[in-house]
Amino acid sequence: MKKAVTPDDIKHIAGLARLTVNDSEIEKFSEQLSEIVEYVATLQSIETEALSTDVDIIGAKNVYREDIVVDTAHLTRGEALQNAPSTDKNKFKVKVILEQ
Amino acid sequence: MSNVSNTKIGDITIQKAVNMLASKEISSVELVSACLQNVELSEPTINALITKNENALKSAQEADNTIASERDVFNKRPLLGIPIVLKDIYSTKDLRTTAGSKVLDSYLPPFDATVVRRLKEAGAIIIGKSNLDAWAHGSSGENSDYGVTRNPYDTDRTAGGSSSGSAAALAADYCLMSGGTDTGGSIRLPAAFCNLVGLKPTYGRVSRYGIIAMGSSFDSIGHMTKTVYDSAYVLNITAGPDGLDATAEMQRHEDDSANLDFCEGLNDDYNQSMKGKKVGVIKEFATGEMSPGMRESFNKAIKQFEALGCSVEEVSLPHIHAAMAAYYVLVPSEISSNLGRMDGVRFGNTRDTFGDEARRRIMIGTYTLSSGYYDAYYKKATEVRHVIKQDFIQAFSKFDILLAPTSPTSPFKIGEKASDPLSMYLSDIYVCPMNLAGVPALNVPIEPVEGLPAGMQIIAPHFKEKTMYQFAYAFEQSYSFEKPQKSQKTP
Repeated sequence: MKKAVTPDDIKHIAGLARLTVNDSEIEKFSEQLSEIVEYVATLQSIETEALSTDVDIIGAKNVYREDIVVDTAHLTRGEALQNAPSTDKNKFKVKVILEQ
Repeated sequence: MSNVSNTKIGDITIQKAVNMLASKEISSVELVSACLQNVELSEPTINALITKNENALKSAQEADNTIASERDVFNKRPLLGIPIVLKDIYSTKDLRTTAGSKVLDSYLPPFDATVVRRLKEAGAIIIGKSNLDAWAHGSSGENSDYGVTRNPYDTDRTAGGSSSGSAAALAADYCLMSGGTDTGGSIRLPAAFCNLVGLKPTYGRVSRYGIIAMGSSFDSIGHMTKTVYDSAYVLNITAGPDGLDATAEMQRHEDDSANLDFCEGLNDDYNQSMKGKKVGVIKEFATGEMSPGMRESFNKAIKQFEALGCSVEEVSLPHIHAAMAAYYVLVPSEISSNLGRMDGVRFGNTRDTFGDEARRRIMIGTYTLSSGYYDAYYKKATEVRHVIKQDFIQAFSKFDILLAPTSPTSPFKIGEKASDPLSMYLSDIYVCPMNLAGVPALNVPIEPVEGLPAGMQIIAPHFKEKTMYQFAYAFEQSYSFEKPQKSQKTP
């Protein structure tokens, strides 16, 4: 019987999520995720109404504040860089994405 | 050199410690030294801490200086000199924060979480950062990249999770309070496993700013203490709006923490407030899967509310069985988004360092949010979540509080559930619905089952922590039972 989440699905999802999954792990994850996905599929049997977009799930309405710098929530350049594995001239150093 | 201390932390609560400090009966240095001694004694076995704060004794000395020189200082700084432990998911400035994962193995936050700032301003002394399932993904502590935390009541058993280290540290007398997070039971379950009072506040009661996010619409920032009064005392400090978290108390109403003292009414007059109150026992859980010993202990605890003069009835929350399935769609979806920020570029190690459970959850979330699956899973789960929330609101139209068991089982043995992810998820069956609904819930200890700690949940309507604490206090003060015994390897 076809699993809910196939090994090919795992490869695809891992790519989307930028995760490393070794060949030896693909089968294991396929089985585990299939089990979980089959479990959550039971939601289909619950009768629900479509929610309008203004239903408040967590009790949040639009929350605004003034567009000003908040002292307690602002990092200096040095603080922002302090955990970077690789920096160059006070900037984060990243791999090239686009070639000229 | 630290003082060799005869202070028995196990006999001291925050309430008692504050009085002792104010009256100079004890010093903060003595308190903190005693805690550090317990750490040294038990840590090789218990493994509750990932990082120890090397400055704890120095801070204790500073606290003692302040206590000596300022009058009525505890009015302004209610936790001055009090030792605490914080789950290693709370950002603490310049104190290593790992979220239990090697991805953040050497991460030094450049800032304090709002809750950390409030606790520090209140004078609390951080003993260390406690162990947890990596990224708070787990119910036992076994998903930590820093080894499992053992239960001080039986070191072959788990301390519960994901706030495993917080529970074990408090139970092993490293501190008088431990901070945790509860996204699907992660404070209440370890509290039940370690015989502690564990608070999941209303979603939005306590700021999430600076707490490494798991499920942003579920994460509730709470804590564990030895008593109900201590729990309320700490909530007075952590609760309240924060300009840095748009979901923290954003609406103005009578239950604003600014208008509330959660400790009010927690005194010898508690009996009066209980008469005629309506208590509802969640029917689907009371009749759900539980060991016979757990069922007996839970039923005895329920009866205590009748003895207090409350009317106690079963109430049905008809959709509550769907909570787990909704949870395992919605939370992994939010996880996959939140953990996207672990890029190994601005901080942390690269994404190939993620462990199994994190990868599982990120993948489930990516799957359920992906094109072609979004409607069937995420959208549907959101509709089910809404229905479950309405079930709670309906029940609270007839009842003041609800009761439920916390765990279907006693603390289980390390390794027992580790190889079956779904079986581990089902440990949270009685605790995760409250996170879907956003309501507050408190674990309180009940009679041990075969010598092992057990707990029960007292659940209140949104923002009614004060009501919850009144019921919990009355229960705690009037219901006595033989406390479980700790293992020989702990103080």
